Order: sequence, then structure tokens, then C-alpha cells
Amino acid sequence: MNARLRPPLALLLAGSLFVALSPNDARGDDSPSAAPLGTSLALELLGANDMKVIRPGSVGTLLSEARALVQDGRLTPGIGFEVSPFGLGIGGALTYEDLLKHPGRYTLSRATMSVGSVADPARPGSVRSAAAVRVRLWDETDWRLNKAAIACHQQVVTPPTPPDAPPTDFVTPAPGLSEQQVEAIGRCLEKSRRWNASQASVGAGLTALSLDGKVSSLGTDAVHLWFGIGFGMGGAFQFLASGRYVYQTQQEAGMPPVVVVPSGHTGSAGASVAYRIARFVLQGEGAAGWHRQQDDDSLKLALTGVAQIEVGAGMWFELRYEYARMNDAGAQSGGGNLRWSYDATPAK
Amino acid sequence: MDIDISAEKAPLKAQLRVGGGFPITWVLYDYASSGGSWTRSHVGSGQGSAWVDIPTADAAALKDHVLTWAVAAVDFDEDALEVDVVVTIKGSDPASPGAERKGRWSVSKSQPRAFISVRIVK
Repeated sequence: MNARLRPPLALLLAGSLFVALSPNDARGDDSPSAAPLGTSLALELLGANDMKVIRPGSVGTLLSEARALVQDGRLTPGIGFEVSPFGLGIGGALTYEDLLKHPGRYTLSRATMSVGSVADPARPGSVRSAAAVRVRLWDETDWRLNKAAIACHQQVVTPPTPPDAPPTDFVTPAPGLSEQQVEAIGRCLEKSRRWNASQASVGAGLTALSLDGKVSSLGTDAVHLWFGIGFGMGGAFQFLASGRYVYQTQQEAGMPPVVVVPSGHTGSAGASVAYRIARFVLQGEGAAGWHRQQDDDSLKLALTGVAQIEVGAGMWFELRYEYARMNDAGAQSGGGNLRWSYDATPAK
Repeated sequence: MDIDISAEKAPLKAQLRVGGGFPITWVLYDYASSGGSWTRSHVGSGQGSAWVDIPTADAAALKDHVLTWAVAAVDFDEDALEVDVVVTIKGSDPASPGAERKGRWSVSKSQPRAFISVRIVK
């Protein structure tokens, strides 16, 4: 139930918490997920959240990914990977006690660096790429901090029965878990994970464009700073807030005749409160954004109210009201949607 | 899997450290060989990197014994992680770092259990 509730909320927040002000539609940087821990930050900056993210588990795999990204001096579009010290094996030496005793070490171990590249459909032959760093300040969705999930796992998985004669190797893997045990520990996590678990992270990144796809032609087109925070309040409320600043360098846009887009600053911040009880969700959001380009300032305000009800397995009906104000002109809209999300994992 | 504890004096204690940030539970057994067969005794059980006392008055009497930790790690992640495993046996001398044996273990959600064994050679 909880797992099904999160996706519609995340979709709503991704679509509406931030105020889009950038004049360059080719950029995907105005609609990041407001959820503090989404997919790779580099792919978010590129507006390519749907792309598959590779998480290399060793330095060797990381180098392979880097070679796939750059071949013969040219950038390959459609690559996305994210690495963390833990994922690269550095965490292999840290015990659970080591991690919890030193919060800084835990935070560092969960920091990620991501890289991504996409083709820019507006400029054939060009490749946009991004590199970003994200630091999770805290993350209650991490099972290592979820005592209930750990206790439940320890009920399901106990130390193996010792053999009559001692094993002859230093490390001897015991027989793997049964399918029932694997399913049971999956349920441990599902039932003990709060839908409104608190999270916070900060991030920074660069996006760059290469008009001919060559690495040597890469030019930085924007600098991004970002934060996201989520607080669970009791069992029914969730508060989310995000902020973002983007500095966009001067650049050329469009096919010939090329238009020079001057440099600009964009800032946005938003907050949202969600209330859920059983199959019913109410959510209110407020967001404000500012954009400055060549001494010309524009302001935008957006207010959104959403009511959702789960009408079937993974199927949600929602009513939505939006009010947006750009400088001195305001507009409002509303409507209803039917959303359906399902698990695409093949049944075993 | 051999470990040399000749520099350690009783009373002895042992510790298992498993990396990867996995909470672990374990049970420690002592295997002794007699007449071609093994007898197994329960030494202790615990969680994490806790030390456990080894009940012997003479470290030399443990020669050829095998200490085996039956370990279960808590792992909810799909991807396997190669982690460090370190067994330390330490005597009464606080200046001694203790005898150590290191290895690697691939832990995954479906394979979170293992036996970690050291044979005491001196």
C-alpha cells in the first residue's frame, strides 16, 4: 500500500513544485524531482530521469563506463552512471558500527557523483552532458537506519546451522536463502518503511554542450546548486521543500539562424504539505521562482492543490487545481486525471 | 585459514569484523579433533563486532582447534558487495595487537550467510 502511494506523489511533485522560468526549452533543468533522493542528479539536470542509471560496483566497471562515454574523442549520448565511495568498494572495510559511530563517515559513504549524456534533439549531432555531486545529509529511507526492518530481517535470517566437521576455507558461503525467505525480507522492508520518511540532500552540478559531439568542443552552459528536504510528520503528514539556483552562461541556440541567448540567473524554491490517510491523499504546494536575464527580472508564483484517491490496484483518480502568476498576470486551471502505475518486473 | 596465536597469552578473546556496513549476528563454535572425528562446542553468540571470551586457561591447548563463526548479515540490497572479513584473537597483553586473519566475502540479499573459520596453528 505504502509503496503504491509514493509514485503518484512523486510524479505530482516533479511536475509542479518548481517554477519553470528558463527561456531555453531545450534544457531539462527546470523540472527536477522535488524528492530529495531521486535518480542520478546528473540525469535530472539533463531532464533524462527515465534513462537507466548504471551504478558501477568496482573501479574497473567505472573505467568501462567512462570509456563507453568517451570513444575516439567523441561523447556517446545515452550514458548515465552514478558512483559512491561505498559502491566502489571503499565501504567494504567499514563495519556497521563504524558507519553509525561516525556520522561524517556515513554521510561521505553515501555521497554520489553522477555523469550523464543525452543527444539534444534540437541540434542534431550535438551532445549535452552533466556531472554532479550529491550529498545525502540524512536519509531515513536507508534500510541501515531502519531498526524495525533490521530486526525483522534478523527474525527471518539467522546464522546457519554449523556442519559436523569445520569448513576448510577461511570464508565458506552457506546455502542461499529460499525464495520464501527472500520474499519475507522484502516484506520486512516494505512494512517498516514509512511513506513519509525524512530525507535531505544537497547537490551541485555542471551541464555542458558539445555542438559537434566532440569532447574538445564541450562548453559549460550552466551551473546548478540544489537542495531538497523532506520531513515526515506523524503517520499522515509529509512536508517537502526544495530550492534551486541555476546560472546559465551565454550560448547559441537553435538551428541556423543561430540565436544568442544571454547569460541569466534562475532561482526557485517550493514547499509542499501532503496529508494521507488510507487511500486518500490531499496535497498543497506553493512555489516561487525568479529569473534574471540582461537586467530584466521576472517572477512567477504557483499554487497547486491536489486530491487523490486510489480506486484500484495502482490506479489513482486525482482532482487538481492550479494557480500560476507570472509577473502581473495570473491564470488558474483545474482538472481531473486517472493515473495508473504498475510493476513492470516480470513475474517469477 | 591458519592463525598463529603463539604470541598471545590466556585469557583469550576473539572478534569478527565484517565490512560493507552490514549488521551481523553470529554464533561462534570451537571444533576440536579427537581420533579422526570432530567435537563441536558452542563458545558464544552476539551481534556486530563484539568480542567473545574463549574459555581456555592455556593458549597452547587450542592448537589445531578450528574456531568457526556462523554469520548472518542483514542485506536488503540486490547487488552483491565484496567485503573485508577480519578475525582477531587477542590475549591478556594490552600492548599486543593480537593475531589477525583477513579475507573477503561476497554478500548479497540472497546469499547473506557464511561460515568464517580459523585454524589455530601454534
